[in-house]
Amino acid sequence: MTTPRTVLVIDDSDEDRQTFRRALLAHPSQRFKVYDALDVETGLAFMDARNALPIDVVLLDLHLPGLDGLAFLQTLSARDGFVHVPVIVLTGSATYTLNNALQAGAQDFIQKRLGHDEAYFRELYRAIDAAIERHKVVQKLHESQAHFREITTALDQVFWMYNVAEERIHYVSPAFERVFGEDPAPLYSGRLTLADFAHPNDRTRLDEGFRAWLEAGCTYEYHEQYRVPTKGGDLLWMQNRARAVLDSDTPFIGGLITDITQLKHNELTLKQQKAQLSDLNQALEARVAERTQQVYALSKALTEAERREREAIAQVLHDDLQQLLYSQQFRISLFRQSGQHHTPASTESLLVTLSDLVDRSIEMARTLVSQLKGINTSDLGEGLAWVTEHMRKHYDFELRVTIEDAVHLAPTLVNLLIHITRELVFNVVKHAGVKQATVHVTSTSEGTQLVVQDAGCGFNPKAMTRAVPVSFGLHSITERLGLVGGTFQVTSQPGQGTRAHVFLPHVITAAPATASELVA
Amino acid sequence: MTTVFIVEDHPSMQEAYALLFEQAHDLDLCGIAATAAEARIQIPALHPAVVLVDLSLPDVSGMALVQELNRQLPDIHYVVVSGNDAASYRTLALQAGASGYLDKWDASTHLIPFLRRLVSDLPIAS
Repeated sequence: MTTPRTVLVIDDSDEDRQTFRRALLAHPSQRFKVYDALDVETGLAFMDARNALPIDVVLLDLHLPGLDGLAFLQTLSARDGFVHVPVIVLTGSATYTLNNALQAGAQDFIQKRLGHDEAYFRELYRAIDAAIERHKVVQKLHESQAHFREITTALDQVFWMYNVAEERIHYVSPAFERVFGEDPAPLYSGRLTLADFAHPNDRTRLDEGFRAWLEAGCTYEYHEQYRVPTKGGDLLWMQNRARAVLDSDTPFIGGLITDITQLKHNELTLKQQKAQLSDLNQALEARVAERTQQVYALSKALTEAERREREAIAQVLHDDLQQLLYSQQFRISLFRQSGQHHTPASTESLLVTLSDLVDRSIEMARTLVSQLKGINTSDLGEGLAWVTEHMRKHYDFELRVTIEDAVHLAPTLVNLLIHITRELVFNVVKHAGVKQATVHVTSTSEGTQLVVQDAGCGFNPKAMTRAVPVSFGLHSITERLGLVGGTFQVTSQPGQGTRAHVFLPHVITAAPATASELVA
Repeated sequence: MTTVFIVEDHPSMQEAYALLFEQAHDLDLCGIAATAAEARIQIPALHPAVVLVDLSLPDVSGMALVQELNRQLPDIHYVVVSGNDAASYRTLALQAGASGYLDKWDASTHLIPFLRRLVSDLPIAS
């Protein structure tokens, strides 16, 4: 058993209503529920009253008192955007009205005629089936249109269609107003083109590009990026892509405009970041190169210093100690060769000489050891004591050393400090014109500070350039300290003495400490 | 009597050489110079048969001094004495014009016999 179909017959003729009812109820397989209305108002009211309960088909007489059949269709269409129920128009003859009715959303028509035979009934059944089927398609179309509208409305992309024959925009989606902030009406009228909404500087390019694309037969995808000024004074970036369908009856072009401002912005940011990164890399490379140069220079200087020291030691060993030992060997050998001839006096003389030579050899070896150990000690106090002794012995120079608090430094740093102190004190010896200086070492939470001070003639640090030999030593101190994150500063003025300030941080930073300039 | 001149800067070694030559009656130590500069003045004046040159001198190297003197006074025998026994030094000394090269380590015992062989034109085994 099939579900009964609900039919509403709107007709002011009693006879016709009876005929249709009889015809429907006479259907061999399909059951019908038939409702009547004498006019449009009653029909609409009935449909509203049923609300959700659907009516499968409306049989509608076009010529009615009051609102006619066409008004019924228009009312439904105005309400929902389309006639949501299959409508079969009952008509006498007037083709004009029938055409209007079909255009207004009726699915089919059936002619009223006298004499209702079975053939007429079958025609009615067929019209009902056809109307229901056709309406299903209409409904589907309406749904997909609604869906399309929904998408194009919600989309930030503007969909547009261009009529190639009429050379004007045929459709733009509602997003146009939102994205461009402009009324699309002038597009439809053909008064403006899409390019007219672009930045003035981009218009010519867009117009020419579009024309060239059309002339080329639209064989490839149209693709442009351009700027659009907003009313707020901002500049948006748009991307317009389009394809043409030229082989249909009405050739058209379908396109999609996308706001790519954010994308462009990201692109720009990315580009800037890349550039920034590249700059940073270059700076880093330059720094590494500079650092390598420094390390190279330093290692050269250290190797040279080491070589000089080794040479000095070898010199002492060769020129003094070795000669002393050879001369002892000579004497012993001669004594042996003289055999039985030596007297107690000659033996005593040899022993005195040998004893003196041995004493001198021992003294020399001790000096050498002290020199080697003193400068290379890991104890700051011991190292500075050696510097003090060295200066006293060789230059008759008095150095007063004070070390405050416990200064704990890595052996390498202690060594660096001792070497630097020796160089600084040696500068005082050579240039300050005084016979004494002080070395003061203090330790803070940040690092160790060493100050070498004298009351000598002083100098004008500004007058010193790197070309001047005296500054070379100071410059090398600055560099060596810089490598371990330390700083070096000299304060001096002619006649005011000199104060050399060395600072070594506890934590060695990776970045090279800026060698502070000499300050007056 | 064979005259010998010594170029040696270390006083203690100068003394030792003097003692050594006191024992050799056939060899006469006619002079000692502590620097090449002194040697340049004294040697042409004294014209000894043999000049003993220490390899390391305060002003120029003993090798350079030998080369220089040999050009000027080729009839003199030059002997280089050094604390360095490296074979390359020996070769260099001979190239510079020295008649022999002696390690200071052996000098106290070998020098005198070496000089005697040198002046008697006997083959030198050094």
